[in-house]
Amino acid sequence: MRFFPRTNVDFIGKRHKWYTVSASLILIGLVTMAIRGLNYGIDFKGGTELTLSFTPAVSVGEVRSSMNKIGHGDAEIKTFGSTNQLLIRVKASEQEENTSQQIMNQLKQSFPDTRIVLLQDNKIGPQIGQELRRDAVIAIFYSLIAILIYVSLRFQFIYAVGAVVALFHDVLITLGAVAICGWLIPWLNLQIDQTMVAAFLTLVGYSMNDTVVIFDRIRENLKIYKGENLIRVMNRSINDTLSRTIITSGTAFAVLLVLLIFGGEVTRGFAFAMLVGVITGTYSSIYVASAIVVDYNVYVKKADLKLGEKQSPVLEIERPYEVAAKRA
Amino acid sequence: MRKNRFRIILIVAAIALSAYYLYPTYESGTYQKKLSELSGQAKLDAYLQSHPLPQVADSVKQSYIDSLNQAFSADSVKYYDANAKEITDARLKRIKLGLDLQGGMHIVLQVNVLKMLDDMAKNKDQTFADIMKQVSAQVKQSDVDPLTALDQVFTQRGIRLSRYYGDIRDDNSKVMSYLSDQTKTAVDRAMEIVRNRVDQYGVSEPSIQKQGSTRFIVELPGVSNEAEVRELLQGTALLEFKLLKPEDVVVKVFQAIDNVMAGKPDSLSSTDTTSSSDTTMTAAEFARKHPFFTIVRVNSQTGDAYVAESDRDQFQRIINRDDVKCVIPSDFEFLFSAKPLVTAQAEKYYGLYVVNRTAELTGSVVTDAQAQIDPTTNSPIVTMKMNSEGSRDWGRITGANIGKRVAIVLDNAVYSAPVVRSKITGGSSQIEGMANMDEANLLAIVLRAGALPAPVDIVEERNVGPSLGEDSIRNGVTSGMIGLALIVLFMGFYYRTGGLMADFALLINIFFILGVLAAFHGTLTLPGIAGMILTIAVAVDANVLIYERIREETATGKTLRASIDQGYSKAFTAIFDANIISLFTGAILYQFGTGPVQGFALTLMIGIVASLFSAIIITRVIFDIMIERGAASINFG
Repeated sequence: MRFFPRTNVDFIGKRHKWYTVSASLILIGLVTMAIRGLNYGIDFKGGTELTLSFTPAVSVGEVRSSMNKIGHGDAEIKTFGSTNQLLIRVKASEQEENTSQQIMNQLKQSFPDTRIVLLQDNKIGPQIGQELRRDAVIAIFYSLIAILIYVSLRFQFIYAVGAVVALFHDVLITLGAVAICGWLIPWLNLQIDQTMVAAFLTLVGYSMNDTVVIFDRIRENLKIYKGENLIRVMNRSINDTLSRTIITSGTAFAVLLVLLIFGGEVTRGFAFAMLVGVITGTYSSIYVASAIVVDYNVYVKKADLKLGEKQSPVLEIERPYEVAAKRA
Repeated sequence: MRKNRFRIILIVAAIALSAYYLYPTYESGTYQKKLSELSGQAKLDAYLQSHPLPQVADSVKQSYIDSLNQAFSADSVKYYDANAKEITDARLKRIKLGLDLQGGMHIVLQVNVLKMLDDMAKNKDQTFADIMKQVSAQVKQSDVDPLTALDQVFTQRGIRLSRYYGDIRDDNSKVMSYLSDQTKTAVDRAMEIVRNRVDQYGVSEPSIQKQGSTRFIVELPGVSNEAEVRELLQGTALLEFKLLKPEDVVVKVFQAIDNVMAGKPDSLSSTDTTSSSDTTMTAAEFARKHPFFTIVRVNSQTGDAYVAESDRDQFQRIINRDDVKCVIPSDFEFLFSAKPLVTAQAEKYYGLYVVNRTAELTGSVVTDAQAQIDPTTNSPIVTMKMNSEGSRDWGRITGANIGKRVAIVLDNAVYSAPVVRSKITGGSSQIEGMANMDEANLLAIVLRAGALPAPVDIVEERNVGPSLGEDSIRNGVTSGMIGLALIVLFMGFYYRTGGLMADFALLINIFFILGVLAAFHGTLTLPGIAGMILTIAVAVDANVLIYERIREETATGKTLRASIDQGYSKAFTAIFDANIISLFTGAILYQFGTGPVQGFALTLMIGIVASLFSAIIITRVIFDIMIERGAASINFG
């Protein structure tokens, strides 16, 4: 069975249209981030965060007025998973104090008939938050450097540039999606925390994986068809690998969707970021990474990649497969 | 076949190794199940079902349930005692669950150098308070090291450091080097104090790790009482010097306890000595006749008593029995050594010390302790200095107890119990007999811990309740299963025979990942499970790449064998390059991430290597064998 019989799509020819699409998506994301800001989790912000379950359930408003009495009126309070679970987040304070104990005591006092169970409790000092943020940036930066070096060695420098630009593209679009969807769909529980950083690094790895598979085919086809028009070879290579691209990203997508739906509150943010990442990672391998290599050859190296009048944009190779298919 | 023979051996070995490493995890699970079956809850529930409680007051009901609970849990305690060694062994070797899955506390502690400098100063006055205020403002503002800031402020004000620190005649540089030495070792002191307490608190599998120069991480699985843990971590350390009870008295009390337990008429003057009869008895007989001496092993030559690690709980229960308590004099205190003695069979034994309940001296009189090499004997020693008040008491105590042993006790754990050789006047003592320099260093740390505070702040605290952990496991397993099922079905459907082989490789792959995780004593965290689910998704990529190639090659009219050869070799560069890069990002993630993120990175890296192995080698061997067996075609969909 085949979902994609031999295709001959001119991917590269339409790259400029897609540049505009990518640029606008990134812009929308950046604007949202500028206006709404990113929702940092306490990993990076510092503070105290409690997840509590209440039986029977109490309303957010009641909890807030109770919190107000101990000077935490500005606490962030929202439901977490089911309606009887609440997440309470308080800003980091200068002096060291037992905030979570205070909050628990206060709530037990305010709701004497309610069974309150502490599900989770995190306290991050402001200094640690800063350090974690720095480490996250360093981690992403180093992985980009490592990729740049490795791809330059295995392919050419411009391929590495294309791959890294594609990664930036994926990270920016995903960040934008996190900002927008975190704002519009609170159920997703999206916040930038350590798990989210792990998601970003993983999507960097995934996107890279996808790009390298296409580059590998380009490398191989360029060897076979020496002197051929680069655009034609690229289109051929992308079409050759298309079936694999769709299947792999399809399975990854399906599994992540399952994780998003059934994985529970804690991994939901991770699954969402990865889902977006799988889509952009697949897309950017073609329209960013490969396209940049083409445009570098067109605009910087001034290579003449104009197609001949009757030339198809996709390198046609007569293969026995088609012959056999035609006969059948 | 020859080429494949090696591969087959490799595959079988890998599977066998994984099974070997995973077995304790399985075993531990079985024990756990057995224990929870035996322990009250299930039985209690069943009993309450069949014997409904009459209508009585809640408090009565509760105490009735409590007593039932105790009666029902006796079985599990018995079972645990009987299999203590096997259970702890299996627990040690199984795949650990991260705190996010089993619940517990993760705490990062940082030595508060500023507070420590403040605590260490003597003759504190208003000027000093002003100086400290200035120093702390500077530290907060410019992220400068507190000690450097302190030095700067003192120089700026033209005040000598020796006015507050060290000896009055010391010059600034000498005091500075003393202070910097103290702050550098502060984290070790704080860690030893915490480790000692955590060991006694009875948390299973605690982990204490140094992070950077002033921080350390404490992980306490299954603990959720925050207030108690805070006390445990931040309370002031108590160092005491306690006299050991004379051996002959101790042995008599031990025998009395033994008699009580064996049901013999208890008398302190019993003549039935253990050494005369234990040579002729079998182990079981001995255990029946001398239940106490089965747990407490007394070395007949030295008189030292030892208790196996797995028997410690049982020992505590014994000495708390009402009938046993009667034969123990009230000023007796039983203390364990802080560090166990490890036998050649890797069994751990703790020294049992019987001491005077009241301490002779507390550690606050200790001013300094250093580990050194004795120039004359060339063996490690620890020198200890005391202040004038302490020196006076110490002289009196040592003078009155020459030939006796004094235990050095930190927070109720004995670190050393040297024999007093002579009366020590002048406050400077020397302790000998350490096996190596590490032991001497540890003792010096402990002696200083009692005197020099190492105040710690909790800078990060993560506490996961057990119910959330259970939810997380269930969610993780559910989504993993669904995801796996989706992929397995798809691959089988799309690539037919090839797909089934890939599915088989995938299942083996999961087995490998868990096996490697167990072998490295890795910890399975929730992000780790997410990493595994992701690995499942990406693991098929290698097979997809290969199969797509094989299809292409078959389409060019090649034979089955040639197509498979070409498919594998042409797909290899792409698979290799792509996975190396994923491995890079995994390694970087592991390096810079903390806690949960590291767990994720670890499973991701293991997953990449394992999936390459199973996707490339295992499937290949299967196809080769199929062809050798004369398969004319293999269906790749």
